[in-house]
Amino acid sequence: MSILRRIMGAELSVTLALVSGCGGNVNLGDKSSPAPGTVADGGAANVAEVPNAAHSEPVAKLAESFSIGTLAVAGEYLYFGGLDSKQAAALYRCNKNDCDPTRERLPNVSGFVSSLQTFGQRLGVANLERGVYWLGSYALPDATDKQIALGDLPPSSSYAPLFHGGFVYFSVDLEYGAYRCALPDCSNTPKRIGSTRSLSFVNFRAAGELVFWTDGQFIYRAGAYGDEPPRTLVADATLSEAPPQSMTSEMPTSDGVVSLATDDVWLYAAVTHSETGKACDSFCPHRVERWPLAGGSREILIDTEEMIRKVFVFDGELAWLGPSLRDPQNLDAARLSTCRVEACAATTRNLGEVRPDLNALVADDTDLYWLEAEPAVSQGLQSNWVMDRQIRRAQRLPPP
Amino acid sequence: MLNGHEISIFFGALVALGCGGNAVDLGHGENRGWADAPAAGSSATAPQTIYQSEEAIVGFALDDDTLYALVTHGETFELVSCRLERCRSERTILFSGSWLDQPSPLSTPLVLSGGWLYWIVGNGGRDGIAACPTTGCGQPSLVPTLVRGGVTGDGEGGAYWFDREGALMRIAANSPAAERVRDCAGEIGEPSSGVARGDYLYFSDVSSVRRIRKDGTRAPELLATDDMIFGLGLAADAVYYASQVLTGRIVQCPVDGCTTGGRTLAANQRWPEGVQINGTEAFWLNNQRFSQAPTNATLSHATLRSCALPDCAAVNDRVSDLLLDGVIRYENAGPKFAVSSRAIVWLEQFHGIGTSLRRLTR
Repeated sequence: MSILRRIMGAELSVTLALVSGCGGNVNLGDKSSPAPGTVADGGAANVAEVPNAAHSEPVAKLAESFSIGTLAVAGEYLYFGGLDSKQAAALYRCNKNDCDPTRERLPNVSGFVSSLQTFGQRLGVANLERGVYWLGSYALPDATDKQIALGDLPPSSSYAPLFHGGFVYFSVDLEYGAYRCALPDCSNTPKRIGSTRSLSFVNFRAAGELVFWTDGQFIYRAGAYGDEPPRTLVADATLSEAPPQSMTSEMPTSDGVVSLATDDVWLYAAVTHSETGKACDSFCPHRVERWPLAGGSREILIDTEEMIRKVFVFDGELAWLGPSLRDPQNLDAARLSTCRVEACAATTRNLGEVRPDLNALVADDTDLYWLEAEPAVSQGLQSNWVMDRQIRRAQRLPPP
Repeated sequence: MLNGHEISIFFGALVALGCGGNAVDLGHGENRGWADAPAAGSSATAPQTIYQSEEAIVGFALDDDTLYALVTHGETFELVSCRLERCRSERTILFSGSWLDQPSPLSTPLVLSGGWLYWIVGNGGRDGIAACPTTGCGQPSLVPTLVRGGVTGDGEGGAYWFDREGALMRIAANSPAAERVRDCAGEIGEPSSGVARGDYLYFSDVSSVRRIRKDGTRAPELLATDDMIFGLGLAADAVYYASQVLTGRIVQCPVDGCTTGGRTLAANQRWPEGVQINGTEAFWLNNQRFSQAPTNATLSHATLRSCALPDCAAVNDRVSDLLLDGVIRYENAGPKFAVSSRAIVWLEQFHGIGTSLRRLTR
């Protein structure tokens, strides 16, 4: 694998210079799982040459400086945050098949909704309202019945709650803690379900009764919706428990964890892979790996020199954020790609440019929806960073 | 959120307002300056304003019913003392003159130790520990040092602190120079709170509580580890600290350590900080909720709580809805409240840039 990946890396370094972001070495990931550290599929899709238009279509145009980076889909509607003409934050919805003409502001929602997630028949939010942060939800489809699960939260730059199993899971970026609150009202007493070693990489994901989060080095897994004490895991071949001494020191030989995703069977992670035995940074090779939730060996799905920022999964369709196609060296932009996990190399497609911190990638039964970004223009000059300018969609990849 | 530089700009733009002028205590009214206690008949158990002005009190200390305060007037300041009930009519100016550094500090501990007052000078000019006797001084002395944290009195007129290199430093009363007691680089984190008692100096950073012998003959001992520790109090046989944010705790730990875990005296305290012990009662602040000022600064609406030691069976709200300036606790900031056997005194935010000093009779 290493040799193969290095070859691909060498190719890639040339390709990158020609503004052709290669998807790297992509694993088929079929049911005959490859041994840890190997790649079953030697092929790599040259996804850079595939035009976006072949895969996706615009759903709505967004004015410059409108979007606040949130998107959700439920039933016939798309929900998204935006700034109105007075630069006040608002929540909008539209019919997903006729978005622009049907766009409407939801009058029951005020405040800056910085996170959107559908669960059941409700829309989970993190909301900064009159200077106060709260986590809670509204009833769909009209965003009525505001329920505050937990209010008066400390100021934080990144509330990214996960609503799952009758709870909301969240962290406060001022504290090395992971919390859970019972819906709908929490009785104002959150439960601290674990801790982290970093303030910036808490990425809650869940599957059934299992709850996962990461601090960039370890993966934490708590059973029984967080009632069980979390296990601290290392992103190695079997997702083994971290040795106790590693909890108080650096683990230079372990892979760093960039992002997590889950489905009913697997835990997925984008990792930075250390081959040198030294601490890894974002310039290490990146991988997308997965482990069976029930325990078992790792499968390496993608192994690439490219930086992978985030990973998502939608019923067997893997999505990830790689370097921008327009400017691969630009860390303020990213490329959205997807593939079928079972045949990733053969099915990899690029879906376009997005913000590197994209959370707004959602799916219904037939389509993926996301916020596509374009280079921002500042005082007549094009800048490195990009801003959301469209809602786009693409049909989900069918199973092979 | 406002940062220190932003606030200092506000200070720089201030137009000097009259201090010590009309002073009628009307709670949170708009009268500015110092106030005497209201006439007899008013409730002694209701909070009373001692001082409020856009010209901030940047540090204060309490000794029984005597208040010591550093009051900024832009480029100059006053160090004053007064009985809590007579701060308008019987206030003593211990020193009045220019700040040793420019501009004014935002906040500093004002440490009372055996007849001496110490405060941190470290805002871009000459850095050090300033000292003035409680009887007043023609000019505060300044011992050059870069303070990392943990400033505390030794009870005998001197003071301890950790400098930026991590050395434990000590100054004796009326001394022109500081003594380097021990090089603790690599042995400590970023100490904030410090309390001296007996042979030891106890101190905490955001994740640990430690103690070190005052004579520096041994390396610091780790007493406790925790998450988001803000503030340290000390009784005869135990240290008390606040930790964690959303489900905060007040923790008791024996003075010789609790590395396997301290005893939680009070749970589910929202962002607790600043534990102080007076007699058999523990006091702390909860940052209960937040709001946004017209300046977009974040304000904390805090509650001052207490419980009786040793069991802390019932937690009492002593003062509710204290308005504090956000959730940023500046490096080497002074405490927000002080407790004596006679009174509880606390600092609140006033019009975004000033302070209101208030009290409650115990």
